[in-house]
Amino acid sequence: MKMSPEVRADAALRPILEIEDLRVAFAGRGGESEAVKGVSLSLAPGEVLGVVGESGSGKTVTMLAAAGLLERNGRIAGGRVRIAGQDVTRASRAMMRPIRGAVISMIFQNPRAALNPIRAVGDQIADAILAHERVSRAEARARAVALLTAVNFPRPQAQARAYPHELSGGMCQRAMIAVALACNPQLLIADEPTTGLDPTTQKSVMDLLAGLIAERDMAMVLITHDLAMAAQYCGRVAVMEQGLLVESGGPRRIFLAPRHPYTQRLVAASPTRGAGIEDLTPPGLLPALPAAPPPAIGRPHLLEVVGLHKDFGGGSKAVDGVSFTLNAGQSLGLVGESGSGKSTTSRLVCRLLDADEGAIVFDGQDLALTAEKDFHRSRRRSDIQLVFQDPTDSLNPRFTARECIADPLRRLGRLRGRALEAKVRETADLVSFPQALLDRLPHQLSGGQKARVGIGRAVCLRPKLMVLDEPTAALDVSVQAVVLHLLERLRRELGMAYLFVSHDLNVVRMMCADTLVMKSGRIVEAAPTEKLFTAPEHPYTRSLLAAVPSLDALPAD
Amino acid sequence: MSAASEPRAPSRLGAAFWVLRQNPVTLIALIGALGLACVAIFAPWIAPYDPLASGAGPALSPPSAQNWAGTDQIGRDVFSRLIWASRLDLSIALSAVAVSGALGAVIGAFSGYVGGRLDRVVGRIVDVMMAFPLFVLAMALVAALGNSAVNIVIATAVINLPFYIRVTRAEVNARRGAGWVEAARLAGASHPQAVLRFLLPNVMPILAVQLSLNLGWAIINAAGLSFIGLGVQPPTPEWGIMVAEGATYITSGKWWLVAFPGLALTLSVLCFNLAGDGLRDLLDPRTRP
Repeated sequence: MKMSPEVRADAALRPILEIEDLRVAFAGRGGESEAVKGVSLSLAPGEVLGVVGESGSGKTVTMLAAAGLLERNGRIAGGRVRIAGQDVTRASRAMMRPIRGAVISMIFQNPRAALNPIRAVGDQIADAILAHERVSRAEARARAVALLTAVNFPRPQAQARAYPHELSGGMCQRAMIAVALACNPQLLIADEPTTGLDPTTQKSVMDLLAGLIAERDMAMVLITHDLAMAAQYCGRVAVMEQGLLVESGGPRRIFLAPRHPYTQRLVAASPTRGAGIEDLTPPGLLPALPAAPPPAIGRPHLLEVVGLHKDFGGGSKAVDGVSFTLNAGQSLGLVGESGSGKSTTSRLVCRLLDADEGAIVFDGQDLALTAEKDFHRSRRRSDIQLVFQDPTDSLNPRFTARECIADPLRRLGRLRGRALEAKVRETADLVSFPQALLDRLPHQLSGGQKARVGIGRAVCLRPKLMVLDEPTAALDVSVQAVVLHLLERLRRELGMAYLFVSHDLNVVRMMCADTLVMKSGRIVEAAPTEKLFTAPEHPYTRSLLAAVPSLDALPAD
Repeated sequence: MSAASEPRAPSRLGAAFWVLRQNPVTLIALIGALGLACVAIFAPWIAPYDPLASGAGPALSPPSAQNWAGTDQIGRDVFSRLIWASRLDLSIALSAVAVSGALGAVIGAFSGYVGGRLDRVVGRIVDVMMAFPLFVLAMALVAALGNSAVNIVIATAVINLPFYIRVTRAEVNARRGAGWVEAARLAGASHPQAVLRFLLPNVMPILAVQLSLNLGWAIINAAGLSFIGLGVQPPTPEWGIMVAEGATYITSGKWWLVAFPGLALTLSVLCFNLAGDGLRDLLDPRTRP
């Protein structure tokens, strides 16, 4: 790029980050356990390395250890870390201080938590500069404004005085990038920088980040669980599993011809444009899906939502005239960004919220006529159930898996004693939850197991309509693959209708025959899913589709 | 990270022992609190003399082999009176804390769950109560209701109420949007059921800590009321009364009349406070390394 070939070759000999056989151990109740078990990698100046893996793979811990940011109960148990040729394996905090910020800096997943809430963002950038360089306050401020311009703040001069709570999530992450770049570091470690942001914001933040890195000839480590994102933005990808680096190489090679079985599983589990649900899991792992029920032609709609309105106050309406229909056994996708009103719509349909206006006609009966606070007594309560986004948050921390599934059966199914127990076991089998784990509390279960309990609780009463509120958003891709398979199997077996709320368009594409696109409380486009993906009509749909990172369009290595 | 905290076989007891080993002070406090409870329950068997009968020894004799804590102005055994007093003081404190805990938890839980106008009204009432000097409020209540152990319980319960309301309100408020509360509603629970059967059990550990901390405070409060002559009346053995009665003799060097009940009060309050602090550590997973 900017450097001459000789300088580049020389620089390539001196990697900016070298990790050799790194081991990291954490002290816990049961003694020490190793989270990183001998990882070696190196990064040349100007290189962008993607570190991908599922939760618990040790990808974040590796990088935190390299930056000297391990928590107090963690320690480097072996190996060596060199930053710009300097051995920092046993560096003290005082020794690391000039290195952090000036040579290596980090951005994290939740920018709002990483920024100081009571200090203006411009001041925080200036603070970072003043901590490392002998410049005047005024000069630091001027540079802060320049940085905000560089990260595409529309009004940098004025917005330098803004506090984090006055900025959106995407803007906060941009400000965080500005802080990280303040002292012109040579290496940026980005830990899931766009997780939790909307797809379009995600894309603009990642594009910005990639642009800035290239422009300044910096190196970057992008830690992510999103294979497609790593493929799109990284020159080299390293795959981690359970504290080990199992495979690394160019994105094309890794994703098109993965060698390690774990990488193969991971790549297969990532939803792509052409894939179906059965393609996500290795063949033979799960039972084949039963045949799909025939479409209900000529029968009345199961659900007919007419002119739904909901206003929480505060200027704009959360739901502004939403109407749609859903047939028995059909699956309808509802996509949109955060704040588009899709979650509110799902709560309205589930009768957890009262609509200001509109009808929810279910099986010929207008449910909106029953107040939300009385709906638990309605005989329709068991017909409409919800599967939540976060399996951890949706299980009562004091209930065992058995009690979670038994609760609706006891209240709505009026089952007791042996009949109740039999039904709980039957439900556990239905959702492939091991009966041996029924007496465990949520914190003793894995994410996938918790998701199964949540689904079991919803399907145990055999509802006619299930609302799925981003049911796999909090799960790792391989777990997501299995859960999606389970949901599809249940729909076909039990003939339920799904209202599938999601921001992941690739998932919706596999799960739903028809899809609604929501924006600012309104449905802007409703079409058969295939048509929506191949010939989107509304510009908003098009921008959503363009923002989805995909393994289908890999750059050449 | 999560690799280090794999879901392990259920062992809450194991975790409790692990934490206790790290905090010997908590262990001592818990043993002390337990011991105190035993003393109160088995008072008739432990006390060597009748707490009300004089003639346990010569009047105003200092601690000796016969009278471990000496005798008072009419020859009653101070040690036996101390033992019996623990019964009264602990039961007053326990019932007061139980009443205010139960009431405060329910009021606070609904206030935190419903929010809106109810929450604002409850919040202001609590503010007003806490702005008032609480001991003066308790004095006024006992003075108005009449001197009796039951009225001390009521007065102590009332002045404890705001703390429980605040704690429960805040904890329930933080959890009311959780998925599992909505799930309870989907499973056919009404709003009150969601509060009482789902949210309250989940804030119980935090309430237990508050209960333990307040127990010490309730003991001081009950003793204080008796000390100033409100509440339990002589000759009933009660720590506050014993301190009040002994105070007249302290100038003449009869220290044991004040020192022993004072020590009993201090130790019991200390035990409950330390045990409360320890319980908080025990129940808060974040303090576990």
